[in-house]
Amino acid sequence: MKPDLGVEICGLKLKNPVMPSSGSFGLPGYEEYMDLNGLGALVVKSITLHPRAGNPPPRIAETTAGMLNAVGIQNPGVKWFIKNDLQRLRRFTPPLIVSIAGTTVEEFAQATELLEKEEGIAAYEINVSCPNIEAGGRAFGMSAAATQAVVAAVKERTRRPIFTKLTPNVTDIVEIAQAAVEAGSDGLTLINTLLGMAIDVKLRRPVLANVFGGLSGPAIKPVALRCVYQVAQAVKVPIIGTGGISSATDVLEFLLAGASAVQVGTANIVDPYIMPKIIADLEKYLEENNAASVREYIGALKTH
Amino acid sequence: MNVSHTLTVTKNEDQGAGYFHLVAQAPELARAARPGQFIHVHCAPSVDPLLRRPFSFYRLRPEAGEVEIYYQVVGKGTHLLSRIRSGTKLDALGPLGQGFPLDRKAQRILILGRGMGTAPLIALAEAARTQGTEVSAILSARNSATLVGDRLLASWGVEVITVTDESGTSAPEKVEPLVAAALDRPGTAQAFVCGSRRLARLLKRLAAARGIPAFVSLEERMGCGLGGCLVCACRVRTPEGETYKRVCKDGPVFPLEEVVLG
Ligand SMILES: Cc1cc2nc3c(=O)[nH]c(=O)nc-3n(C[C@H](O)[C@H](O)[C@H](O)COP(=O)(O)OP(=O)(O)OC[C@H]3O[C@@H](n4cnc5c(N)ncnc54)[C@H](O)[C@@H]3O)c2cc1C
Ligand SMILES: Cc1cc2nc3c(=O)[nH]c(=O)nc-3n(C[C@H](O)[C@H](O)[C@H](O)COP(=O)(O)O)c2cc1C
Ligand code: FES
Repeated sequence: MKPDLGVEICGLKLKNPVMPSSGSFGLPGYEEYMDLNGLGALVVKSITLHPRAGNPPPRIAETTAGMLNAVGIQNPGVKWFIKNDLQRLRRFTPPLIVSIAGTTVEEFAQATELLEKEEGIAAYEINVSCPNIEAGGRAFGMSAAATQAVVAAVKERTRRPIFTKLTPNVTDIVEIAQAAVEAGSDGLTLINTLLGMAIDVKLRRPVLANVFGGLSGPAIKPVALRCVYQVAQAVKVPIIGTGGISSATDVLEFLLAGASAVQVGTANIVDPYIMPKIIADLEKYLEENNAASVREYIGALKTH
Repeated sequence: MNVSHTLTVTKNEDQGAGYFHLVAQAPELARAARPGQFIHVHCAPSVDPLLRRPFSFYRLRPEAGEVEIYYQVVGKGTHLLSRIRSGTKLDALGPLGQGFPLDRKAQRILILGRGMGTAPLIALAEAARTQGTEVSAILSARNSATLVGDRLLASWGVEVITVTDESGTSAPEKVEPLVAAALDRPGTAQAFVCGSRRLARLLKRLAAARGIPAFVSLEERMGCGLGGCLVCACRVRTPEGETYKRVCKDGPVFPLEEVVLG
């Protein structure tokens, strides 16, 4: 019998635990290159209340086994999103998760109100963790109180499940995770990028026009695994793990650490066809290892 | 459309001055690709370097099932690429981006290239000659060793003017009369530039004054190459004001009047 790849998180039924991470995969757009219906869920690039032009280039710097980005949440704004992108994305079968970002609590609240009136959205991801939205890499997710304020404001305005996306750029990620859950977050996504920088010695300049950027890719996987593990020990809500995932064994590592599903980010940027490969490999791995369901791995890490 | 291809390298030859010419078997890609489009190449099957590298098509030879690129070794990725032997398989995405909008009925076009930026203009010139369009070429480089494609162009009957830093002929004020004269040749219907912001600014001004449509192929650091990650931003002017477009998906070829060259 084929192993069961299905998982359920906050009432969302995913046919497998693999979905793209916000901002790394063109949605809409990539239906031009592949069948999106094989994915566990669809997560869009963070949307803000008002359109954002984003940062000047260069916005990317390659680093050892990773990359820095400073896109600056370039997006067309929630109204344009609803009128255009949402219409196109509704056609696909995997649950649609809309990522919301903002620079004030009020912006999160208003964007939620507008989205709430629309059909075809399964859940929200609350991006309180983007290092590229405010000067100096600050984010709401660096403070428990600010995280709580954003989550509470969104929660008040929605019937849909919300996943708060956490930043690793904090002293104690568990404290922030608990604050988000207390404020009503139904699940958590972690981690967003690590704040970093790159320097061009010849030019004596930062590589990124924004000076700082968010580090992602294989280089951050150990940090992400640690964060997922720590938070899973402390909270009861489902966790979506993300950070450096590029293979089926990476996925299983995150599930063992306590995640119920995963997001693939930078690996999509390197290979847009990686997720279907990961899903196929996952099925093969479970079959070869006589596991009936991928759920057997969730939180099943042995530490003694 | 599946844009993932496995290329089989049949030639990867040192051309001197740090330049290499790579030829690969990729029949489907060769059929689908158009001049001005590019491939996004994984230079080594590893996580360091992690990202792909973009290269424009230098020649497209669908009848031979081959694509060609011409590249300069500048860093880690191109260094690894230069060491690949023939027979090696290369993982590439393509054809990506918007190519040059060559007018089928153009009597003559002008191509203006600097250094490695000439590479995509060679594919364009070949397509133009194949459809019977005349080509004027002005090629600029640091020195004669770093000129790209001048002999190939001449072999297709293209009149090539070369200017170099070494000979003191490449300064904008010296190139300006050459570009103006080329644009003023009867029948010149379109102009294309790549490889230099200064030359692009020059062409923008001269072509606009004559009402000749002009296009530039831009370079920017890329991630996905498919329009999904928004890192390859270039500034453009639209009726709604200035905004960013994606070099990989909306370009790399843009109308010169649209781009803000800074
Ligand atoms: C659409 C397009 C077409 C191109 N066509 C050609 C071509 O035909 N021949 C050729 O020699 N070069 C071409 N380039 C430039 C080529 O992509 C870079 O020289 C190459 O990426 C450098 O990689 P590296 O690892 O050797 O250099 P490194 O400096 O080590 O690269 C570090 C990072 O910066 C990026 N980068 C560095 N220089 C450039 C650049 N000029 N443009 C974009 N990204 C850069 C790299 O991709 C990499 O992510 C093209 C670029 C673009 C955007
Ligand atoms: C180019 C790029 C753009 C991103 N944009 C967003 C975004 O809009 N919203 C968000 O929550 N995370 C964004 N991220 C972060 C990713 O979703 C992900 O959390 C992070 O990159 C770690 O995963 P990875 O190592 O698999 O890439 C972006 C990452 C990259 C590389
Ligand atoms: S490189 Fe990703 S959008 Fe252009």
